[in-house]
Amino acid sequence: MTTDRERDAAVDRLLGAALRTPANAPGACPPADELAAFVEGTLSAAERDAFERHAAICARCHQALAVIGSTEPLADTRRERRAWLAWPALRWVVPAAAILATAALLYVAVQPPATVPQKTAEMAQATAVPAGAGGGGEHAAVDTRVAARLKASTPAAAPAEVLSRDESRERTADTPVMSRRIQPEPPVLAAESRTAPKGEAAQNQAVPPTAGVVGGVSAPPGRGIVAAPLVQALPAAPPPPTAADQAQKALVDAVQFKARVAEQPQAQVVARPAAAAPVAPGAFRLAESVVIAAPVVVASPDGSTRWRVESGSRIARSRDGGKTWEVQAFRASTDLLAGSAPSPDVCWLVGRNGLVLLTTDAEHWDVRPFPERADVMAIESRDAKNATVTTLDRRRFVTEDGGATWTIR
Amino acid sequence: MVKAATGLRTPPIDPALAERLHRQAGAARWDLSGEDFAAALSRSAAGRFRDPDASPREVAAYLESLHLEDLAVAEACARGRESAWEHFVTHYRPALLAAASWCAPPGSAHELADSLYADLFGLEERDGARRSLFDYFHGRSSLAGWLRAVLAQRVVDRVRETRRFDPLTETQAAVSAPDGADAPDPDRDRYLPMVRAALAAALAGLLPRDRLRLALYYTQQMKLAAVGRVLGESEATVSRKLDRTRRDIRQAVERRLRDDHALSDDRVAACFEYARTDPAFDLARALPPDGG
Repeated sequence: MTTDRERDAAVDRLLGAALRTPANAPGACPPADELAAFVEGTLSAAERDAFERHAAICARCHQALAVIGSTEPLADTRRERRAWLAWPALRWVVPAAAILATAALLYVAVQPPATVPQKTAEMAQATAVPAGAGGGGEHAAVDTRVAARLKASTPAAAPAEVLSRDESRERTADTPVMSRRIQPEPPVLAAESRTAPKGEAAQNQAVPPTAGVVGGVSAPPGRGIVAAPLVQALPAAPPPPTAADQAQKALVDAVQFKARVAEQPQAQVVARPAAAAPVAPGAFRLAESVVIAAPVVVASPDGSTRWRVESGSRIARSRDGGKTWEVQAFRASTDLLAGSAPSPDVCWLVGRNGLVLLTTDAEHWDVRPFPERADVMAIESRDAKNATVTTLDRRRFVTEDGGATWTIR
Repeated sequence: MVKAATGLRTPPIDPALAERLHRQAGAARWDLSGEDFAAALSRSAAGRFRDPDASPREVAAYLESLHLEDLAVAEACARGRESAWEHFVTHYRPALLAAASWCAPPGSAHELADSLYADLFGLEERDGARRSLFDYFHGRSSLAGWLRAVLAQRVVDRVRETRRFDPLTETQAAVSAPDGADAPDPDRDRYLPMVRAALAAALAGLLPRDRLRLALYYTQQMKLAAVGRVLGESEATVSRKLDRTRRDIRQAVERRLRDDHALSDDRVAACFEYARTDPAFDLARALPPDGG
């Protein structure tokens, strides 16, 4: 006689076969904003129930949820402004705060009680440990307080960075194409937003490793170390954004493109990608020009220096935060798609057919040798030596020598 | 009271509330006037509240729960504000391209991202006004989440369009053509319909959320963590609930086979084995959609 466990396993295999081709639910699928709200948990209870009733038996909704579940969240600008709360910053802040607290306690121990600064006294009181407790308790108390305060401010639904492995599942050769697609790890592009809290170009840059280091400790003469308030240990707020450019060539090009579209009806097929008719090759190229016309804009961490890609291959630079622009002499051989500027003088730009450009003086561009002719879609960089790029086919290449050599990850 | 410009009957919005939300959203940063932002709020409220007589408190609570900053960016982009577009291009476009390359069928990522971008910009005109896909963003989720959902739906539609014309794969052909070399088993022909019906009834009796979780895991072959991401559950919770659902289904099927068909335990075990090894078992054919 079979056991319950064996029958559960039989049901598992049964369901795997039985649910392979679910029927479509009648009626319209929920729109994208409802789908997104469901995933983010912002639907009301009644709306969520209605969504689940439909989605439970709708193949299209299953597939859309599968795509969403298997892809990394896009950059969230709200999280960028609070990115200093993210784990990479926390890694610096917590031990730095522990060191501060220890220094504060030592200072208090060697100073007469009357000379203890107010802040230090507060911190000492907050981290006071019972007599006989070890040094680890002091660090733990500070860690706990800091972690609790930061956790209270952290956004509620931080997305997972990578897919965890469910090694109990076996993938077979007849796994549907869409499902196979979710197995490799996705490019961790959204991590850029978690490590780059500064400025509007946080999407395209990485925070230097020194960001977040406590800078608030000062040493007034004759007073030893004064522990600065915790808030000073955090990175300075980014400068306020400057006013937008008077006219962007990209939008002018797009308006001109629109005029051309009006004269060529077949190109409008591109504007309706859900149409069953195949897209004419000419229409695709026209649509591509809209995206290329819209500039890639990369800003240095302090926002003072910006680079803008115009018409896909020309590079313009601003040294005054975007108020004025000058087109640089260098012209790329193909379309540039993304960039990263870890400092005002260093900028990486990447594009089609393995194009990787680097400038270390904000002026002259050098074409870096890239091992493949794949379209390079994204880049993260730490400085002029270290960068990671992601190609269209989701492979990641890393360089530690300014692009002279690359290692695939 | 603020009313939508679209002609829809929308719940009225207190102007003071609209003004406060305008400030909270930082809409002035994108040169978006209070009136324009209020129109976006009205559209959002109209989508949520079918009844224009919804209580002001309910409407206010809903509007305050929106992703206001993202709504301001989207509305400003829809109205062609350059500052907003610069912000969007800087923050969202590269990730959109990368997400499309990740989830789109091979060779179509760029076209998919380009066409989505073109729709966001608004190449179509209707009644003299440019129509942007941003008009359909109502702030109920983050702008990033909405973009991901739009992209996902387009990817799915594209795959479904092309799959309609795909020839039967070898695996499918093997499944559909039973092996004629096996000797016919009379019990199999008798018990399989029983199992089908019992399993169909058990599935129909599941809570929608449990059924959705099951479908994502089995039909989409999603990993536990990915299922948890879309359902807002931890991986451990997903695993536990799947186990519980499987157990409930198994017990329901056993109960039905014993009670309705008076089968012994041995016969019930045999039923499970028949169903497990039957290549043509397809619940979708046995279970018509119930319309939710």
